[in-house]
Formats: sequence, structure tokens, C-alpha cells
Amino acid sequence: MQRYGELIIYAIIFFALVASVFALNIYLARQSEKEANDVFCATRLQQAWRKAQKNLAEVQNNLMTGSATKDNFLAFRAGIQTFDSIVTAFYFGGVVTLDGMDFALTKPEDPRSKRIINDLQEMWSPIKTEMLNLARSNPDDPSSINQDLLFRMVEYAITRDDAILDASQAFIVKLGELSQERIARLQFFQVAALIGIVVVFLAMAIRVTISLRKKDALLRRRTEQIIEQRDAIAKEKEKVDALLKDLQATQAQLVQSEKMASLGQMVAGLAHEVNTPLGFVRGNIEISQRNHRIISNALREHDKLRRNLESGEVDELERILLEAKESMEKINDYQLIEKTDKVFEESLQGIDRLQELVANLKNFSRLDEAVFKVADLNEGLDSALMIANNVIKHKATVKKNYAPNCLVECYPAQLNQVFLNLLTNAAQAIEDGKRGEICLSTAINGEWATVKISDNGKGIPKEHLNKIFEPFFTTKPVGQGTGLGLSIAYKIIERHNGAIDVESEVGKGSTFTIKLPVKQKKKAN
Amino acid sequence: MSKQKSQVLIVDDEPLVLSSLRNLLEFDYIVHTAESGREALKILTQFPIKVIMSDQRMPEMMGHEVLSEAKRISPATIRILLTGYSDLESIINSVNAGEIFRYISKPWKSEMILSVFKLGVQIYDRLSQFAPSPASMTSSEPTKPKVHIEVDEKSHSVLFVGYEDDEIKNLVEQIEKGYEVYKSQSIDEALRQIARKPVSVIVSNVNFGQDNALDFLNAVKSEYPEVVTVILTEVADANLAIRSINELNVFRYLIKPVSGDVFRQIIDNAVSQNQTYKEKPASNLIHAAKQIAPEVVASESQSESALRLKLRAAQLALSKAKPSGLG
Repeated sequence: MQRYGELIIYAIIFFALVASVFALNIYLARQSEKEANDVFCATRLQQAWRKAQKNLAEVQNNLMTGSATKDNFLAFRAGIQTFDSIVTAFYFGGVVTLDGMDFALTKPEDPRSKRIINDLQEMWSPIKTEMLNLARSNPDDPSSINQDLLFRMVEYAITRDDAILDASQAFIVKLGELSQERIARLQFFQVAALIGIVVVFLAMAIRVTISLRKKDALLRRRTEQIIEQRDAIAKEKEKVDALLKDLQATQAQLVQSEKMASLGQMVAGLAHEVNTPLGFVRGNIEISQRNHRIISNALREHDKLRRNLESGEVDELERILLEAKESMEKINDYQLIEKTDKVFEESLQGIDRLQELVANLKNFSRLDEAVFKVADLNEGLDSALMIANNVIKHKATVKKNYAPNCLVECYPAQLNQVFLNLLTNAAQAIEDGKRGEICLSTAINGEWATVKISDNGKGIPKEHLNKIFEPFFTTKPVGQGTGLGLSIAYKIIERHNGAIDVESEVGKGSTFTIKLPVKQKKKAN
Repeated sequence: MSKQKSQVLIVDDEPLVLSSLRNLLEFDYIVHTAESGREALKILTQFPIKVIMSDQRMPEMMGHEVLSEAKRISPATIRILLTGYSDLESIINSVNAGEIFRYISKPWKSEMILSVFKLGVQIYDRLSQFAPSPASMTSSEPTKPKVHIEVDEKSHSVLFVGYEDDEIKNLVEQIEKGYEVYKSQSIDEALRQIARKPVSVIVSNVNFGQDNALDFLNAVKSEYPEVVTVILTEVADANLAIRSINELNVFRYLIKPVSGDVFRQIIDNAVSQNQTYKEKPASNLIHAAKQIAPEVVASESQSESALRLKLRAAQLALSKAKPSGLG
């Protein structure tokens, strides 16, 4: 705006100068018209005087010769009246009518022409009244003319004729000179104004050029700056990209480590579950082996006894009988036959349990069907429960309240991961040394299936409640939790177009509620 | 057979495990079984149980809690913990709380169970020979350090092995009023130090250099059975904890950081344990076990015997230099 302000000032000066040139021209034209009038009037003044003076002399002559005087007198009257009116108009300012035209005259301002007019007035005023009185005489009656007055006026006119003529002549000349001077002066102003215009124009042009140059330079600098900034931004972007990549990698790593953690948890749970049946089945096999040794030994002894009896070798019969009896001692004492039977029975139970575990594990991981399908939420909960059993067993009793056939379209393996996470959390919420209770319930309500997992553990403080689904939020010590478990659970439920929510009270426990659409509108990914 | 059978107790929440173990052990022992900790403790008050073996993971009462209670009810009973999948926290808990004689991991081997029970019963019998009243045989009473520590100022010494000075600064400050404190950066240095003057308690790191801390502590223990060992480390390793009990009968397995107060308490207890070992060498379980059945106590590794040789060499060098030395 400031830059434009300067230009506006230039423009105003420029236009003012142009306007002044026009004004001067107009003024000049007016002035020269007036001057022409003045010169015209001055000329007429001289003519009028000459006419009056000549005719006055004629009148005197005619009177003396007795010839007609009327025409001369009339001419004298007209001349002297005209003369008077012009002199008066020049001296006092006023309008003079000549040849039917009005001329407005003013007293000259220039002192030189003014002096001339003053001189004329001085010369004229002493005789003005008498002269005009004379002019008012009746021309038809020559006798009415005051001879004395006429004589004096003629004399006066003759004596003053030269002076008056000179003066009026000088006045005309002076008017001409003044006119010249003024024209010269005005032309000078015009030229000066024109020069001024040119100067202002040039100044403006230079100023504009400079400011354009400046703008240009500024523009170039700005452009450079923009380029620099762009480069900087590009670099920054690279950095941000790199950081983002890092972050993504870290996140991926964390997600991976969370996966590994839950895998580890799963393996730990499974290993514990497997170890127990494996332990006693192995023990039982060793016991069976031992028992088998004892029993087969007894059989051998009895076989020997039988053979000796059949062949009638009775020499050692007593010793062999004793041996056979001794070999039966342990078998009878410990009821080894029945017990071994039981041992086999129990071993088979153990094997069944292992089989069941493997089936359950398959059910949990669903590795063979990592696809979108209809699955029973109850089965998922049970398989997660089996995995989490080693964590839950010594801490809480589990109560189930399942709605039958809780079938939902989902990724079963993903949901099982969520269930495992929630179950582990529930178990961990129960303080050491206390016997807790974990309740699982499922329900189908129209289009929605609901799973509730609640515990009576220590609960979640209010200030944590809105953060628990955020990634990396954890209250566990560093290194013991990635803080991703629940955020992953949240993501998984979100992916199923469902909702996961929590209610909790410190000291009373927490309830996690999962709502899932029974049918997915569009295929979840 | 003619002798009356010893009584043992097995605790597991899994009946089939109990059944299997009973079948295994019943030829040699009168086997009591309990499906819960509560039941086990009741049996413990009713019968003279020589060996108790408990599963770690059980509902209500964890194995190490059962054994800890068992120690209170029947201190002379030899305690064995049966662990499934190694559970770090509970193992370290049990090291520090239960004075466990042995860990056995699932799935077990019958032979292992039989030999550990046999050894347990032998140690029990041997200890009761020395002390007719088993109740007085408390090998240590961690919560009540003996008063004489205060009186007998600086007659005990503590050796730190394998730490930077500043990482144990606080801990040293806590105990240096009461005890002579030595610091060794390496095992060699530590061996020389021990040869110069036997210490009461060794506080050792587990991972320094390529040397094995357990071998080192084992070597020291076999020469100075009364030395009490405390492991203080950042490494929470279940295997290491189990080995440190099974091979070394380590007094405490501490995971850094440890508060100064707790540490002083532990050292006081360790010193009092050392005093007990000196006065009644028979109360030293691992020592007793080594004497009764060296083959069952974890076999000595080559590096351990090398370390023992080093220790002996240091002793020899010292005794030559100072014939009238400490001996």
C-alpha cells in the first residue's frame, strides 16, 4: 500500500501540472482577449480625441466664418463623449459601448500604464466639466454656444492636444508591451510546467523502474527462499519418512514381540498342561515296566515249579516252591495285577487328555483355517481358557454362563487371541493369595452377540479407564508388558465391526464386554 | 523290609499324578498323598513325615507356599518342589522363602524321584541323630538374626564378587558398619581373597567373564562348606535359580535392584546361617548330602575342579609365604 501511495502522489503532481498548463492556456487566451479590447479602446480613445479636437476647431472656424457648424459640432460631441467615457472607464473601471459593443474595462494594474492613465485623467479632469457642458450646447442654434467657453476649450484642446495624443499613444504602446511581457511570462510558465511534467514523468518512470527492479530482486530472493524452503522441506520429509519407517518398524517389532509374548504365554500354558499328563503317563509306563518285571519273574518261577511237578523232579521242590511263593509276595502285598490294570487305565486317561489338549490347541490357533468363517464363541472361549489355565488355575474359579450355539461370522483365531488376552488380564487382576472368580458369559440378541468377561480383581483406576485401549499403555513394570495387548484386542474387534468396552471399579473388579455382529455386512479384512 | 518304612508326603492337585507317584514309591515308603496344600499341612502335623514333595502350581496354595508352611510346622522334613513349566517368579520366590532341598521338573524320571527321596530320607535320619529333637534343627531362622552379630563386631566378613564398585556402593554402605567387606572383580581375585581369609558370606554375580559363577561358588563350598552364598544379579533365570538350589543350596537368589534395608537384613541372616553351619556342620544340607551320596549331588564339572585346584594352589602359596598364617 505504501508503495502505491508514492505512485499516487506522483500521479497527483503529474495531473496537477497538466491541469495548470491547461489553466494557464485558458488564462492566456482570456488575457489576450482583454488586452486586445484594451488596445482597441485605447485606439478609439486617441481617435475620439483627435476627432473632438479637429471638429472643435472646425466649429470655431465655422462660427467665425458663419458657415454651418452643426455636423462638426455633433462630431465634436460624439468624440468628446466617447473620449470621456473611455478615460473614465480606464480610470475607474466600467463598461464602454463602442460601435454597439460593450467593453468592460478595468484600471490597469501595471504601474506604468496606470501612470499614463493617471496623467490622462489629470489632464482631462480640469476641463472635463466645461468641455462636456460645451458639448451639450444645441448645435442647431450656434448662438447658444458660449463663445467664450468655446474659445477657451479650443485653446485648451490645442495646447493639450500633443500631450493627450502622446499619452494615449504611449498607453497603446505600453499596453502592447505589457501584453508581450505577460505572454512571455505565461509561456515561461507553460514551458516550466511542461518541463515539470517531463520531470515528474521521468521521476515516476525511474521510481517505477526502481521499484520494479526491487520487486524483481525481491521476487528472485523470494523464489530462492522458496526453493531453499522446498529443499529443506524435502529433506525434512525424508527425515520424517525415515522416522516413520523406523516407527513402523518399531511398531511392527512391538506387535511382533506382543505376538511372541502371547505365543510364549500360549506355549507356557500348553507346556504346563502337557507336562502333567506327560509326567504321570511316563511314570506309569516306568511303573508298568517294573510291575511287568515282577509279574513275569513270578510267572517264570511258577512255570519252573509246574515243569518240575510235571517231570516229577521233587529234589528241589521245596526250594522252588519257596521261590515261587516269594515271587508272589510283592504281587499279592501290593495287588500288582489289579494295580497294573489301573495304571494302564490311568495312562490311557492321560493320553486322552493329551489328545484333547492338542485338539483344543488346534481349535485355539485355527492355523488350518485362518479365514473368515462362522464359529462358535463358546468354543473359542473354552480353548482360550485351556491355554490360560495355568495362569488362572491357582488364582480363580471360572464360572461359565454360555448361550448355546453362539455362532458368529469372524476370524476365530483372532477372537481367541482377544479372549486369551482378556482372560490373562483377568487372572492377573486378582491379587496374589486371594481366591478370585472369573465369569464368562455369552449371549445372542438379534443381530448382535455379546461376550462378557468379568473378574473380581483389583479393578482399574478411573484415570486409566480411557487409556487402556491405547497402544503402549501399561501399568506393568518395564519389560513385562508391551502395552499392546488390549490395543490389539481393540483393533481386532474393530476389524470385526464390533465394540469392546470396559466397566471397572477399584477393589471390586472389571468387566469387559465385547459386542460382535452375528453377520458381517461386508467382508471384514 | 524288616525295618519300619519311612513316611513321605506327596502334594499335587492332579489325582492321577498322585496315583502314579504312589505306585512308584509305595514299595519303599509309607506314602501319604494330599490334593491341596491345606490337606498336606494337616497330614504333616499328624505323621512323622521325612520327605515332602509338592507340585508348584496348584489352586489356592502354591507349592512354594506349602513348603514354606511345612518348614514352619516340621522344620526337619526335607522339602522338594515339583515344577512344571519353569515359572521364574515362583521359583525365585521359593528359593528365597522355602529352603528347598531340591527341584524336580516335570515330566520326571522314576529313577530321579527314587534317588532324591532316598537321599532325603537319609539326610533326615542323619540330622535327627545329631539333634534328637527335630524342632531345634532349624537350619536358619531368616526373620530373626542372632543377636551376637551386634556384639561380635566385624568378626564376620562379606565378599562381593563380580561387581563394579559403584553398582554396589549403596549396598556396601549398608553393611560395612557391621562386617568386614571385600570386593573382587574376578574369580581369580576372589579365590586368592578366600584363601587369605575365609569369609562368612559371598555375594556373587552370575555372569562375569567366561567363568561360571556356579562352578566358582561350588568350588568354594566344597572347600569351605560353611560359607553362605547369596546370588545378586540382573539375570532372572529360572534354570540358574534351580541349579543354584540343587547344586549349591544357595541362600538367596536376589534380582537387582535390592533396597539397602532388605539387603542388610539378608546379609545379617546369611551371617547367622554361617554361624549355625560352623557350630553345627550337620545342619548344612548340601554338605550332608555330599557326604551321604556324592553321586546324587550334581556332578562336578571340569571347570569346577579346575577352580578348586586354583583355590588349593592359592592356599598353598599363602601358607608357604606365611607359615604361621591363618591356616
